[in-house]
Amino acid sequence: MQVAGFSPIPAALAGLIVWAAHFGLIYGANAVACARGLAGGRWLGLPLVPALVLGLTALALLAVAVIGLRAWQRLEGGLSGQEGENEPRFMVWLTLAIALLSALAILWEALPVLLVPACA
Amino acid sequence: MSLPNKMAGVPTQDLPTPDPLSADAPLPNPLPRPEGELEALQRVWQTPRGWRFPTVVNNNWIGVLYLGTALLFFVLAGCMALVMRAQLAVPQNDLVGAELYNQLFTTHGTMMMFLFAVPAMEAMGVYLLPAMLAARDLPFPRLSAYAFWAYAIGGLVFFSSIFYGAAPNGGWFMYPPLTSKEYSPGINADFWLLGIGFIEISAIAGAIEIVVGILKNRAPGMTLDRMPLFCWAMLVFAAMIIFAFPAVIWGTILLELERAFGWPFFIPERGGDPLLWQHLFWFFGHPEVYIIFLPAAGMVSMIIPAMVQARLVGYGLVAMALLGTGFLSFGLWVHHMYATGIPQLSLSFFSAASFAVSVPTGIQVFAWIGTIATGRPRLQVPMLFILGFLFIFVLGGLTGVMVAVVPFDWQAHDTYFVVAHLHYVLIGGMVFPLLAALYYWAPSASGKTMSKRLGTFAFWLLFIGVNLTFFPMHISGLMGMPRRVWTYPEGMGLELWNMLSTIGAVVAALGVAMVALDLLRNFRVSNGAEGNPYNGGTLEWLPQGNYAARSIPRIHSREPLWDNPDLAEQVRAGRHFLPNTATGLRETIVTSPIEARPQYIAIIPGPGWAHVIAAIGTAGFFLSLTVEWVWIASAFGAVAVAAVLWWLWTGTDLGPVRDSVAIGGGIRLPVYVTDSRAVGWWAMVVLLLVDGTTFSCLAFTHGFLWLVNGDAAWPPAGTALPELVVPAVGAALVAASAVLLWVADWLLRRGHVIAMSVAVLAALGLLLAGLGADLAALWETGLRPGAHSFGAAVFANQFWQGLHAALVLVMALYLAARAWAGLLDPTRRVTFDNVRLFWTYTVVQALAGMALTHLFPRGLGG
Repeated sequence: MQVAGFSPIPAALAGLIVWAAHFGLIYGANAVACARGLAGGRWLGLPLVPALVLGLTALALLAVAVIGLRAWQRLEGGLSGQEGENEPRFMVWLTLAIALLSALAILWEALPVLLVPACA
Repeated sequence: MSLPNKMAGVPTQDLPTPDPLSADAPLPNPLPRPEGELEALQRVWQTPRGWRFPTVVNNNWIGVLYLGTALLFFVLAGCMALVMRAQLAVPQNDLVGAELYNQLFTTHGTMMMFLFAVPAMEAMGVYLLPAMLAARDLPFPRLSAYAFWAYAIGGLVFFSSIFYGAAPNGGWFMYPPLTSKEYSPGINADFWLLGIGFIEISAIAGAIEIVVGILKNRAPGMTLDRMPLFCWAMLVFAAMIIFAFPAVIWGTILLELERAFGWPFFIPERGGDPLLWQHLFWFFGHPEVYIIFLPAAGMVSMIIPAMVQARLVGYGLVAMALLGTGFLSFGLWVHHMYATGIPQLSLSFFSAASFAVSVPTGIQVFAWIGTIATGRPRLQVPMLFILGFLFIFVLGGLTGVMVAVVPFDWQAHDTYFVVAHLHYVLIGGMVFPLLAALYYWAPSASGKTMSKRLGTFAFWLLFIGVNLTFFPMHISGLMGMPRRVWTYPEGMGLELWNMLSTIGAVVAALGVAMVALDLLRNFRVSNGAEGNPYNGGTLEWLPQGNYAARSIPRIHSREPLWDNPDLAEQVRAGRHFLPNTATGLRETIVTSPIEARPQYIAIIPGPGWAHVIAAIGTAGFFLSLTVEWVWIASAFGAVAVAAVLWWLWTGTDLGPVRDSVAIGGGIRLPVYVTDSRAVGWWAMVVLLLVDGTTFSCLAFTHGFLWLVNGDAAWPPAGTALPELVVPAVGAALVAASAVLLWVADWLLRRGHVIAMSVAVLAALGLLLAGLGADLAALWETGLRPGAHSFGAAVFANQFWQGLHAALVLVMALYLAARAWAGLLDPTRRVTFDNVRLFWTYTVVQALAGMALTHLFPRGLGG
């Protein structure tokens, strides 16, 4: 069933949804690695946990960048184009602002992996 | 920041051109209004009097009753705090003993959180939202009234447990093993676990009402970016309740199952882990802090612009900050668990998240300061409380950043430093804004402002009292005084700080007494009030009746009363939308979620007894379970279910009582819709989000216990799972019930109502058979819930599925009864649609649950 006119709300929250997935994954990955003694392992020649966390972080930042750039283009290009006129400009602006906040949070939360041992 | 507000819109095809929502179109309704129109509206919205008063459902009354009850609990829990401060005034005091002290601090915390803070905010939402959105009422007024009565009755009984020595005594966060049967054999802990149960139900009921109301009941033209910030805050508040409360509900179920039946979720000797409780509790508990704070922030964003007579700086950024905080605050729960031995890197993730969440909060603080700077501040009472809020809350925020640092937290953990921090945050962040709101919005309920003299007195007493109480606690905490001790020895340098705290508490109590005196002297609820003493710009300052605004205004900006000085008069004269009662019943305009274009007229129920009786039954059910009166509890439960069914039967799904009605501006709207425009559909979807989150907590329980036990012990040695054949058959039967529902839909659309009911009952049989087969197969393998946490987790899953099966059973029988009574046809089918939605969810959840039981352990190679 189509929910008329609702989709800009989840779209605006996309950045934070990526943040939530990233946060859950890095926390879960570290918890499992420590509980199962996998933290000493290596992946592509790098220490497992930092490599995994940084890889996930790169993916998450990429996703947020795509979300933010698309919103930016729609703001710059005016909204009357392919998106149609029914999407309030405010929601696109909100998408962009939320993407920026999410990128900051994602980056911030991943940084400790460079400073702190995984399971000490 | 200003954004061009294009009135979005190619008019949809059923609307005439020019768009009746645009500012250029003439006002929707002409003068003079027909004779008797206003009188009919007043008659329909009349408040019941005398002995019928408890049947009242209108938000103006329920909101005020709700808030009054919350303030009563604030005073009662505050009195407990005074007793504790009296005990701690001098060392080695013997005013109260250790056991009573334990009950006092537990009940104080529990009541302040569950019986004051969350309900007070829901109350403000119920009271203010319809007026701010210019809706006649929220979409489900009986649901708000039910939530209120269950809370008021249950809360009072819960409070009185302190007089019988039966109050909970394990701290407001109830950590096992202290709260397990072994160390807390009495019923005290059960009072918390079951007694708080109905508060959670009540909070969720309120949250559903608020989400649907904000998204679907706005004034035509009030697009999301023209919505008052209080509404944004309440939207995030309610969404957070939907995702946070399931965790504590699930944790509560597990702990009660362990205490009542010995299912070892938290007992390490049998594969459990007390940390599971801490994760579940704080996944609720940390967002809870923001659940309380965000509505307060929303109020501040409303009050400051009126006080300084300037538009809020950075509206969009503040809305973004509210949404951002709503999400990020879910990434903080482990910062309550720094001292539990979780790996350092994991702690660092949460430490970083705790810093990240201060960014959106900082944005809001700067927006408020910027607004004050651009306007002309008037030092009226609400403004005093706002300034007090900024001072106290910022101090609490700063100590919050300190304890977010892991090494510092290890020093301050479990000391009075934490007590100081959390009271600065909660009193600063919630109580002061609430008092500002009380003074600011009281005239909208009573028609006159409260006393400036008493209010100013109250402010200074509270401001000085709160700082004098809690600032010294930072010092006593750093000196090493632990929280939750009933006394302390002489000669450790703690005497001065504790005495100062006690004096401060008395000063603050005098401040609260001043507010109470002012309320008694100057506050009377009325059926509607006029006037705008603080010259606010938003719709709650329109002239109001019990039906909210006489006509529902067309909105073109964020502060319509500032931009259109004639608006109040136009609205009162009935020149805007729906100036009458179009169907002769209570009704409101339902609009689309983003752009607020009118979609249909929803008929909303008026006064009734059913929801009151249901509330009594609900509260009675949980409270009698606490004292183990199982039969009385069953009786209360049966009364509650019967009352809910009566309520639904008589008050909902009335069908198309008219074809369509004109609301003005050439717009004709249907009075009955069945698709995703319907408010009932939205409420069901929101409820399923609650349900889905609870199921995620169930899945988390499995994953967590597996992690703790190791692959080899999941399942533990000697445990056999049934062959996959039986669960596969069960899954097929369950899935088949969903297919049969699809057939029932097909039959209903063709008007074969009785055949439809037969299909529904057959589908019920399939669902019950499928779930029953799975349960029987598990039982036959000899697996039992009491032996090991594996069995406990599996049967907790079965319990949850069984609860849903029971709900579907009631729904299916109700649906069949509606069909036989002729209350269901191809048009009038909302009951069918909502049952199908819930049923489909139940099927998906049952399949996921079976995968969790049978496939998850096998997938591990066990």
